Amino acid sequence: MKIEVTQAEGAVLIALSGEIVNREDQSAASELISQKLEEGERTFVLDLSQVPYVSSLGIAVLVGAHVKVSDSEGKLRLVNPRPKVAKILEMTKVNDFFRTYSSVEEALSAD
Amino acid sequence: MQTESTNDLILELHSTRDCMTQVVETLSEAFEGLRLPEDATFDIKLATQEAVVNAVEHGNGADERKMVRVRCHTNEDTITVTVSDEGNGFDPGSVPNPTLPENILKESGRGLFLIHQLCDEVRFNDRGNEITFVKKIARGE
Repeated sequence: MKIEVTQAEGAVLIALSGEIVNREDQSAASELISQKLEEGERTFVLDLSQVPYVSSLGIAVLVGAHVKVSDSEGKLRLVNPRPKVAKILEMTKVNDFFRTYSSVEEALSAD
Repeated sequence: MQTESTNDLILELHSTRDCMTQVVETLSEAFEGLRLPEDATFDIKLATQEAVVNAVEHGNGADERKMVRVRCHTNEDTITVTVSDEGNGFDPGSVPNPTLPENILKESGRGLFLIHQLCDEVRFNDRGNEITFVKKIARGE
């Protein structure tokens, strides 16, 4: 898994790409969110358009991010999860915790 | 690694963090040759991934000296995968439902649940260190 981080319009834009395949991937994403929260960031846009699918490890990354951001009264928005990602989000019943958008621009301009 | 025939595959791997990737890549190559429906192969590969992660982390305690064994048999109607480890086994009935409110925000505990959701049949050996799951092939998908 690759992680690209940029700052955009008052939000942290995190673009994930590739498969989330091991605990190192999970830790890297978790540590990044923690670091940005410590720096005072509260709005996160997670671009999933380049993630082909997620396993339970991927769900762990997303749920972990949701818990951290919510505990800090922040917002986490998902962008363009592919059908196989959306399927697993729905299957594990965690989809209700996430607001999803069809583009980064839409997510950045959301309330 | 050992391949018995086009429709049978046996893999024996050390419990490394990379072995799951190796299993999925090998299955992908095998399924390509069999021209199976993509939906079915996605589900069985993801279920296998979950089972191998469980075998490595929970069964073998991430001890690289211990082996994970994967068998895959494909026929006209089904894909059957068996994953076993060298651990003491566990009681599958004791695994909490990860969709219950008290568990839904836990980061772990979804692997076995996903296997049940993705496959048509799931069973264990008596010791609890071997899982077998079956995916029906819906031709014409």
